[in-house]
Amino acid sequence: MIDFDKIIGLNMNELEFSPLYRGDLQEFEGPILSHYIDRTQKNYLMYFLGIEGKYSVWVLFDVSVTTLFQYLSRKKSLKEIFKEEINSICHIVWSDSKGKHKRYKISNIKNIPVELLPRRNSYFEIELSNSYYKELKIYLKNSLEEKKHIVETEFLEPTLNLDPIYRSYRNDNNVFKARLISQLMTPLIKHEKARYHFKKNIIDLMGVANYIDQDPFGNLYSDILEKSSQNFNLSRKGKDSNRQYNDLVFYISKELGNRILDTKSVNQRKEYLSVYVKFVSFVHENNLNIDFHDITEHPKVKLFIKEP
Amino acid sequence: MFVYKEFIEQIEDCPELEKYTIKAIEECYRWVFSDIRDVKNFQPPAISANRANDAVHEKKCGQFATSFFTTIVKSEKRYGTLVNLMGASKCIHTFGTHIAKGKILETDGKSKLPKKGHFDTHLYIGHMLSEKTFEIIKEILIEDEEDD
Repeated sequence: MIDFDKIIGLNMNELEFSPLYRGDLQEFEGPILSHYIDRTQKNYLMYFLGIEGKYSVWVLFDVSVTTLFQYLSRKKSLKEIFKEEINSICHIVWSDSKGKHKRYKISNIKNIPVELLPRRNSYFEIELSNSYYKELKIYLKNSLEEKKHIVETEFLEPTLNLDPIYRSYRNDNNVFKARLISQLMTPLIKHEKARYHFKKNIIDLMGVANYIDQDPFGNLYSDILEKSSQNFNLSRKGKDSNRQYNDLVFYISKELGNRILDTKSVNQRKEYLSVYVKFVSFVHENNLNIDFHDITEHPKVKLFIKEP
Repeated sequence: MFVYKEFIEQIEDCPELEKYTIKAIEECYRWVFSDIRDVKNFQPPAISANRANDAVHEKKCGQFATSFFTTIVKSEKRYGTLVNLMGASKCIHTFGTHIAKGKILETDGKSKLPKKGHFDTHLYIGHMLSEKTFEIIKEILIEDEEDD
């Protein structure tokens, strides 16, 4: 078998990779191709390269939502994906039988010997899959539709692009970040009546996601995801759903506010507060008419706010 | 008593006896290495040193079962699918190079109903699956793929 150390690359001490979700896309008596989504909404594929001693060796690289959807729809083979990504950076990962990563190397896909890669007919095979691919495909389809929706919105409302705040959030990553934070928005989009609210609110959701992703608040991002799915039911129609949305924004602002008040470090509070102020300004600037948890009158906060 | 009892006892409801109802199989097929006496031939994936594993699969009951095909055609077709996905050299190293035909006796283990021509068997301690009950009938042909 191949000496994986011969794959040119740079050994790394650690792998900066903290996936939120994972699942196997192709397996036969063990994993062969796995999928991951990290906290920035990037999609990754991890493909089995072989065995070296007691470790299995994998290549890990990121793929676009479109590519992944095409693969699951059998419109593109895995070999084609590798060919498209030939010049992309990848990680070679050695993992033990419990899936714990033991060694990492940063490399380039073109450095991987071709005999270790898939063949021409490496289309997605349902017989090698489990139910995970169905969930993923629905998720990807929604993401792509949402992206299309944003494009349509801009077409119908061209002045939106003149808005500098909107422009700064409209890149792909932010759209999908917004998608992640608002998984519970999906039922909203389904209702015709709620579409208007969605168009209006997606912009500020993108803003919220952007601020939160700076993540000076530790686990706030994942906390919000978990708690909001427990506490908010946006499957209701009309006014109710709009109210639920307002409640969610209020909840986020409250979580932000509590963390500001709870921290003992003055410098950290200053840093946190700057994010909170941006968030509140964002809500105001966009005339979103949404209640938020106001902590500006709190004595701990007043110290840092300049009088006009 | 099942082989790998110490492992499968740690997995809830393993094996699910209501699903493993088949006592004996008259004819089945399995990929093996060129020497039918190779110890790897009848090892389940969780035990085989040639297979990838991870925390999710480690806890799957099926990983401690040995799998077979109901027909030679199904066996070759699945091998071909895996060659497309993994490449030939990895398949040879992971799964073997030949197809063996044999039978599973009631004293060898309990089997699950086949699904798409493939089924799992949880083997008993002292099972007789070996060169005595299985024989190599064919070398798996793998066509070269031209570089493009």
